[in-house]
Amino acid sequence: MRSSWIDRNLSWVFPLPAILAVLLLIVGPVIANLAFSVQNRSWGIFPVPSFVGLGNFVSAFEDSRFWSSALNMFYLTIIAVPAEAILGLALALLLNRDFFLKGVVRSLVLLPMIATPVAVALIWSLMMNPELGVLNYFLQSLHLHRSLWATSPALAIPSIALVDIWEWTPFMALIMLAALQSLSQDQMEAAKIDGANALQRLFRIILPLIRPAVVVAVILRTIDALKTFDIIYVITQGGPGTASETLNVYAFKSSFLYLRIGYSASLLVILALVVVGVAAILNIWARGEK
Amino acid sequence: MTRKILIALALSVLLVGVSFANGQKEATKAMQAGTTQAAGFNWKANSGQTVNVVLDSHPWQKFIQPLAAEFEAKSGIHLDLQAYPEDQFRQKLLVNLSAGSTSVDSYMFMPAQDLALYGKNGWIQPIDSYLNDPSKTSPNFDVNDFFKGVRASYDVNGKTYGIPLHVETFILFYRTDLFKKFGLEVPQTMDQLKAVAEKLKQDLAAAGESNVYPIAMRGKTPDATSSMVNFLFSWGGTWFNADGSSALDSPASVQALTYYAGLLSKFGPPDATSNSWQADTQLFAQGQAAMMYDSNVFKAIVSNPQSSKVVGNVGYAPLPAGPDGKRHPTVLTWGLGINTASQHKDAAWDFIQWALDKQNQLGYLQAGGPSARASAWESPDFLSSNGYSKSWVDVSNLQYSIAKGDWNPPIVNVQQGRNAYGLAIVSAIQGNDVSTALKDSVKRMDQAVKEFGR
Repeated sequence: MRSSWIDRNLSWVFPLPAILAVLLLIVGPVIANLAFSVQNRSWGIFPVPSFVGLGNFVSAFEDSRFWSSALNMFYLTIIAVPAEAILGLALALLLNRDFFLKGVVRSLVLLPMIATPVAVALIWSLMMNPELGVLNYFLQSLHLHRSLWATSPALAIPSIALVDIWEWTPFMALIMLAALQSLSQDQMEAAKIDGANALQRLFRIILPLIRPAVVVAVILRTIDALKTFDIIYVITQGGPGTASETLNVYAFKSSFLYLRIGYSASLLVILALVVVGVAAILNIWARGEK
Repeated sequence: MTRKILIALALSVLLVGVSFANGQKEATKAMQAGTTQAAGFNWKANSGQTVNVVLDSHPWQKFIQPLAAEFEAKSGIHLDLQAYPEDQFRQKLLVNLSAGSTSVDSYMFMPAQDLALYGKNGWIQPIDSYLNDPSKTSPNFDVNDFFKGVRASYDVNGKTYGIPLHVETFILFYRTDLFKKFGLEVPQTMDQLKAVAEKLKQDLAAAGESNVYPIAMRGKTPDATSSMVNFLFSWGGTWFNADGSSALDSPASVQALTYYAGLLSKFGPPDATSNSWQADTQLFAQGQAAMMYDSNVFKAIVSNPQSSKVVGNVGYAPLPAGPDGKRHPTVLTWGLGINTASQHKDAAWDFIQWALDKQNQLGYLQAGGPSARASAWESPDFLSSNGYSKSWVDVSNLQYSIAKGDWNPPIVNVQQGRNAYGLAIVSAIQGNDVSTALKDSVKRMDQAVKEFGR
């Protein structure tokens, strides 16, 4: 009896747990965040939550810290993602060839991506420590000046970008390698016979063919880089001052430190719109150039 | 993800914990020698219950955690002590208290940081009914033994919200060996402090020790606020004007920050704006700073051979006098409170009165922690103990006797206010215009007052 009821309603009974999970864990919080973003509210009953319309968004646009954190967010993304794309492509081309112990090398290269971001950030922050870090030791043994790394306002974002590049280049490489391996060898051989040299083959044949994969990898990484949180929070907490504070970090601090949940929610709405917007632009640009 | 961060940060904080291992041995000895409980009070009244306590990773937590079994044996109450690094500790409490969670019974807090917010939200339980009930409070507890001025900071509108566990004040640590070597006098005024730093810089460079910085102080936001406020008051600055607006852009405030930022940027480590007490105590303990201005509680780190290379060469001096010729230190206190939503308040109170009884407060002082009980500081056991330093005691007591309690902006949203000031401190140390930076602080402070009140 019961089983026949399930049989008759298979179409929605089976996906039900997944739908509930999505509603509860994704749709619910998104709606709550939208609702919070138009309120002045904190953690408890004080101050009494009140509807402020777009007031939080207006405050954000008047807040110099909002603009500096938005700028930092783009700065980090613009350094990190192109570097990851170029290095990732180079790595993928290298791994696409046959050489001794290729399997071992490929596994090792992918390790940074698998490691826990917080652990990665912690180790890098030790290495970049201006007094005790190993990076300054290397600089000194090369007779170069010691660097302040992430503790200098000018170098904070580039230092974080360095960690991001180290960690996520393998991700780019992995996607591009998959695309390279799906290429047909016939075209390559035909090009060789026609006298195309290695550079010509790369720019005229390989890149156009793997372009869709490159676009996907760049879009995914851009979305992630805009939202970077863990590396920054562990290494600098957005400091010194606000020198490496991105929108995501500022939103986190706004709610968990400064108790301004409504304001924080409005920052996150802006962040979501920016991320969606940037992804859409990249997508349109990628299609338009076909 | 927050959990991962938490675990990672916990590892780094463990390093600090090592320094307290020594003191604890002594404390345990003191405990064993101490008298047992009063005959009249029934410690077993709440036997069988579990008390969950949320603690900051803090010298006091390191002291009390190993003694938990003693309380469990005495009361039959199961004790669950959870410690987190300060940022995570505050976030954990915030989330739990605001959700009305019953999984937190007691917690550490700082009145000048948390009480206004917790009180307004009803997250903290007034404890007068416990203190005044002889069936709930042991006759040996003797609440009047806690420093009166410190106890007062736990009172709001005639109600008491907690018991102090610790009272600290920012003092000047200096290297007696270096001061002797270069013929330097301990600075008594702000001008002398600057002159000493200047001379140290030259002398250290001449002696080939340019890797030693003349002074280490907090430069990171918001932590630097707790340090800077002592200089603000020294120059006669205040948090607020009579009309309730922020006074951080006053001429006194500009002068004070100009001095502080100048001192730290010229004579401190180059990464000062990323440093709080963790980095500063490490620099000083490793012999890389000739002076350090930070809390007296860090004697425990710099005078412990396990964590310090400069043991035996550490001197203690009070905050130098400001331009008016007087010293203007502040005093900070941590205490224990009870969660309003707790289902085990009686058992939580039993924990508090055990954790802060005379024996444990004496043990804490012997471990290097500034106890909040007068009897501990006067105890012969303390005066004859191993790590006893007369100058540390004298300097601490001098400052306690004149210190003010408003080391934080007296507003509800303290964190926002601390950060409003902290950003200006960082900006000034980085060499930006001090009064522009402070104008921005004023804007943010006024906004915090507008949104959350005072």
